[in-house]
Amino acid sequence: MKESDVINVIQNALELDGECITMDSSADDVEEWDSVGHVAILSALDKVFNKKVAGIREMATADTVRKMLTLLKDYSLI
Amino acid sequence: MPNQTEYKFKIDTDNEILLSVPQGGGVFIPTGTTSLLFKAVCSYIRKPGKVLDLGCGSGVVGIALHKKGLASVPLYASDVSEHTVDYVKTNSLRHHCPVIVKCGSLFTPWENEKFDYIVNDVSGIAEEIATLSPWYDKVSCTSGVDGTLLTVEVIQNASKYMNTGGLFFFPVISLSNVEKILTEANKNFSHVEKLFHKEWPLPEMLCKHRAMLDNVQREGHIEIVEKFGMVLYFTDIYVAYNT
Repeated sequence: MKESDVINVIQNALELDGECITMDSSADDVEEWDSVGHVAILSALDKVFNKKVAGIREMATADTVRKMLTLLKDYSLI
Repeated sequence: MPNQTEYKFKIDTDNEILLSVPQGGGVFIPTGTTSLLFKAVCSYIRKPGKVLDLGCGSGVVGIALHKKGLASVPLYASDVSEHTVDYVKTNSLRHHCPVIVKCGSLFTPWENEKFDYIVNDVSGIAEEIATLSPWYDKVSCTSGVDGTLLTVEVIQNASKYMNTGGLFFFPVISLSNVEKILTEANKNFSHVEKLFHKEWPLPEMLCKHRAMLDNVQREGHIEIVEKFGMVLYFTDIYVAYNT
């Protein structure tokens, strides 16, 4: 899976239209990315990565797209 | 009415409605489960019908369905709390939604009535958790040690209040005994279908009581999981009917 695919997953999880989510997006600047939105993102990522995201504890505080992508790379998922 | 405050409820991407509730609690303020329930009903029903908003609180779900053209008039709504009646009337008037609202427990106010759609949002989480949660601020929750008392009674009686072809929508939250509720639903309806599933972070206010939560979970009354370094619970929304 490519980084752009992950960004699409995040966007869909937050139920956003268009191309609102970019590499620079964060919970600070996306209204829908609150604690509920954060769980929605992680649940969606967990689904596309076959339940391999659930165990990544650092995801709890990964509040930017870049942080999430870094973690996914660290865990060899992308 | 005492001092009021307002909250916004999103009915679709571009529209939201404002509803009044008392400041300082007393009327349930919609949660994510409320929004998910509303979304599920909208996704499933195709034509307006006679709606009962059971456990209506401020009237949000019924009024929102009316706004979407899915609740025929009048809307029917009830709640065990006396406080809600005035707020439902105020909110309905504000949104031009004729309503018949009654105070009473579960189906007690609705003898001899039948509905096309019953949307159930009565209290459905373990009482001990409700007491410690941010959701029941001066709002009654007598759902029992495993959160199922009221939901089970609603499920057992719903079909008596449904027209032929009627639909019954209800949330099942994992802060209650999910298996018990679903077993009862399958006993009482020929068709029970999950429409939506969503996970939520457990509020910090509840996370502080981890020992209590673990105890309640050990007893089989709730289901919480640790995922992504967080404690989560879930809501499933179901539709049930008899063929």
